[in-house]
Amino acid sequence: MIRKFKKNYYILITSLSLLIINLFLIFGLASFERVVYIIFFYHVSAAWLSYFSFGVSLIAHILYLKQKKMNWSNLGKNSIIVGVFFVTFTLITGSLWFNATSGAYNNVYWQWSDARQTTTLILLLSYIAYLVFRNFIEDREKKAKLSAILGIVFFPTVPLSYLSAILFTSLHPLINPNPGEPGNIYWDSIKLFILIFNLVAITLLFIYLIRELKELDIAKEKLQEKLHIKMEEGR
Amino acid sequence: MSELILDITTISISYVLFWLLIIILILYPKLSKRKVERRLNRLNQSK
Repeated sequence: MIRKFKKNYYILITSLSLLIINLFLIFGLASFERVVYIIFFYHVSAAWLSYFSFGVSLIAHILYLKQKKMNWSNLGKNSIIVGVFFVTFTLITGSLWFNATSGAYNNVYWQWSDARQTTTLILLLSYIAYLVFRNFIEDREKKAKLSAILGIVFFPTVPLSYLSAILFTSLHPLINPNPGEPGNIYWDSIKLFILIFNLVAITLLFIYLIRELKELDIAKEKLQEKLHIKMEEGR
Repeated sequence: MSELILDITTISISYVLFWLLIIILILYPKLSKRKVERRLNRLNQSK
C-alpha cells in the first residue's frame, strides 16, 4: 500500500515539475507575434488530454462489455471525469482566445456558427449527461452496463469535435509547419518541442489522477460493503 | 487599454485557471477518500 502510494506520488511530482519547467521553456525559448499566443500551449494540451481521456473511456467501456469486470467500468467513468474538467478548460481558453483574436477584445467570446466551438460544447454536454445518468442508477451491474453503452454512443462527439475545424466553417486556426499560410498558426520545431513537453507532463498527471480515483473507488466499495453488512445485521 | 496589457491579462487568467483546475483535480480524490475513510472508521467504532 505504501509502495503504491509512493509510486503515484512520484508521478505527481514529476508531472508538476515538468509543468513548471515548461513555463520557463515557453518564456525562455519561444518567440511570438503576440503574447496571447502562449494560451495555445495550455489550450492544446488540455484538448489533447480530454480527447485522450475520452479515448481511454471508450476502450474501458468496450472491455467492460466484453469482460464484465467492474474495474473497466470505473476506469471509463474516471477517465470521463478528468476529460470533462479538461474539455471545460479547453472551451474557456478557446473563448478567451476567440475574444483576443477574432473578437479584437470586443467581448466576443462565442459564435454559434463556429463548428469547433459548438461541437466541443456538444461533446462536453454529452459527457456531463453521462455522469449525471450514471449517478442516478442504483444497481451496480445495471449502472456499469448502461453507462458503458452510453459511453460508447457518445464517443463519436470526440472525432466530430476534432474534425469540425477541418470539415466545416470554423475560425479555429490549424497548426501548420509552413509559415505565411492564412488562417493557420505557424509552429516551428522549438514550439512543437515545448508543446510535446507539456503533453508528456499533462499525460503523467492523467495517470496520477486515474490511480487516485481508482483508490477512491476501492474505498467507496469498502464503505458500501460495510453499510450493507450493517443493514443486514439491523434486520 | 493597450493590446499588450489585454493579452497579458488573458494569458494570466488562463494560467491561473489551468493551475486551479489541476489543484481541484488533485484535491478531489484526496478529500473524498478522507471523507469515506472517516465514515468507515465511524462504522467500525460503532460495532
